[in-house]
Amino acid sequence: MKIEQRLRRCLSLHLPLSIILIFVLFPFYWTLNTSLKFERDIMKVPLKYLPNPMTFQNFIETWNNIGFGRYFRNSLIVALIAVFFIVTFAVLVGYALTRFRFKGKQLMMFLLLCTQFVPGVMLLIPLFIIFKKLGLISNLGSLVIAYTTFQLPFNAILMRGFIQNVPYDIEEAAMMDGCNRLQAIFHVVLPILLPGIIATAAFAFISCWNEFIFALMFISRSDLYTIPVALHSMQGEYDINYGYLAAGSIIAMIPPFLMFAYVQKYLVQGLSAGSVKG
Amino acid sequence: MAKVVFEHVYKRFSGGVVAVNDMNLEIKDKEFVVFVGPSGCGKTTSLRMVAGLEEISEGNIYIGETCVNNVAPKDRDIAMVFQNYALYPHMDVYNNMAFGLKLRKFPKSEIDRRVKEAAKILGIENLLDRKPKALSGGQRQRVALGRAIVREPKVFLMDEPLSNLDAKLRVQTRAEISKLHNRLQTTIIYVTHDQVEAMTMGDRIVVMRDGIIQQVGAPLEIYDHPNNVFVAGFIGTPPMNFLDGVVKDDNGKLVVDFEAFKVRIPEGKFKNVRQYLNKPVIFGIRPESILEAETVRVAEEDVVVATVDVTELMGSEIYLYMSLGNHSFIARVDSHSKAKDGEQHRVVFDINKMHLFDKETEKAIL
Repeated sequence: MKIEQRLRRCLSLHLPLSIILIFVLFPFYWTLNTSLKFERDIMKVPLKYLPNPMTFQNFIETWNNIGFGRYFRNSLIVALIAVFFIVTFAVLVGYALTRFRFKGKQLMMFLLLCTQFVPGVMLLIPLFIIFKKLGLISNLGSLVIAYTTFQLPFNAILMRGFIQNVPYDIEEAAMMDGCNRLQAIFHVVLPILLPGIIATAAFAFISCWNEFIFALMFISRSDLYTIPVALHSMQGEYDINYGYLAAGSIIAMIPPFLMFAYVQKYLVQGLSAGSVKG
Repeated sequence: MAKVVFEHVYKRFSGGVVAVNDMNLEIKDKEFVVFVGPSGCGKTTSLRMVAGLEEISEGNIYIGETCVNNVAPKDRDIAMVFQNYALYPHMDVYNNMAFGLKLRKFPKSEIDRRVKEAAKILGIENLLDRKPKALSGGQRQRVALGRAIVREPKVFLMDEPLSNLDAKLRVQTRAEISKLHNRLQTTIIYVTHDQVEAMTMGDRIVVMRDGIIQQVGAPLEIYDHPNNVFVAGFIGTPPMNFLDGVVKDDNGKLVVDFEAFKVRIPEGKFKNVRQYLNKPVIFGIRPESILEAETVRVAEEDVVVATVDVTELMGSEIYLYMSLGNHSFIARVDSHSKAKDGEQHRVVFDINKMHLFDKETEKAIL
């Protein structure tokens, strides 16, 4: 009886999950495998499922000669500056939406949600024209502005959920202890909010890091490419060096991978914050 | 240490809700005053106005000689203990208590002295390096008290500080707060909806309802001489019994007639009651003022025979839920009473402790 139950459980749950897991992980494995092979081995038939002989040459070439170091730096600058603005504004908007009573608050919430219904692609041309008039085309500043604008509503709503979970009594207690409102926010609310801030920052960072369309449209100088655009540009019309492309993809994955590993628990908290009272 | 004065204070919320309505009160220096009343009576709002956490719509509040209407909470020199403790979760107990002093830039040695002294008074010396989440409810409450004590403020404000504790701990902490007041000799304003807390702790009680002060007085004064039906019913457990009757002249003597039975009004009180002759009144009597006929010597005409519906044994005493005609009432008698459920029992109303209220205004006549 028990064996039958186990078997049924295995067939109905573990087997499908394992198949999905393989399906999800296979591209990662294949990219890593390709990035560690010599160029001559990549397309060799029969296919090699392990990089033997193994080489790091693709990584060295991609980083030094193709200029991935520079693209990596560009992506990092854009993402970090955008994340700084996104988190700062998200805290302020989230705080105002949680703690203050003002006219049009519901409307503002509605508008914030509405922004999420508009696909970014629809706004590409107007944005391009605006940035062109401002002289921001081929300027990383255009990406910082675009990312901050597009990421802010979602992250502000997320932050609102976190702030709602900080009892107002604690702020009032701080005010009785001698803080003004700003001091209460800095000394008490922000430290309590830290997991939420980390979660929001991680969401924002990953979205900025992976963004492709805006970066492709607004940046035309190759030395200002971000990583997604650089990866795209590596696909030539007649020739694709799969080894470099795979190595570039692996490099691009490292920051989000590390971030997810570190902030995983906060991300889950962030998604569920405010949904259940407690 | 300072007195607190409410001078024609109003608090109106948007939507026309009047939470506090023309509040006038003087709380003396070093006095322990308890605001008591049901939910929504305006007691917490009044406290928050003293704290500066709620704006005053009209009127003035003075702490000491200073009108504090426009003074920020941090500058009022008061400390508050919140219902849910409101400890800073990211700080340990020591820093929770020291936070207010650090903000006021006290020297380190002074902060250390005060925190350790307060911790000693409250018996939490061994918890100073713990975070609030590692404390029990009672310990958190002590830390919240400690945070207030170290500041040595002019006035302590306490907003239902015991309501999150279990019954046993509540009784224990109740006594400790009273002891603390004796020791610190600071003005305390304490808000509670629990009339037992109000009776046991306060030098004076302020009973509130719908934003209006119903009565201010010493606990026993309020218990013995309630101003109106609300105060009479709110203070005391089990609550005072109220029976609708009519004042009648019975051969030259005034009585309250309940149709099924009559209760004599003491001659000394005729003067106040005569104007209510043949008018409906509310007769009030506390459960302990209904005595078993066997235990007292009274005239047979004063004995009321009622049916015992339910008995509730409380240990040292027993509550008899009785009914007679359309009326029902509770008597609190000795636990050795022979009263039994469903049987008739002979009781006497102690007329010297009776209360009469105007049926319309609900104000006390006697």
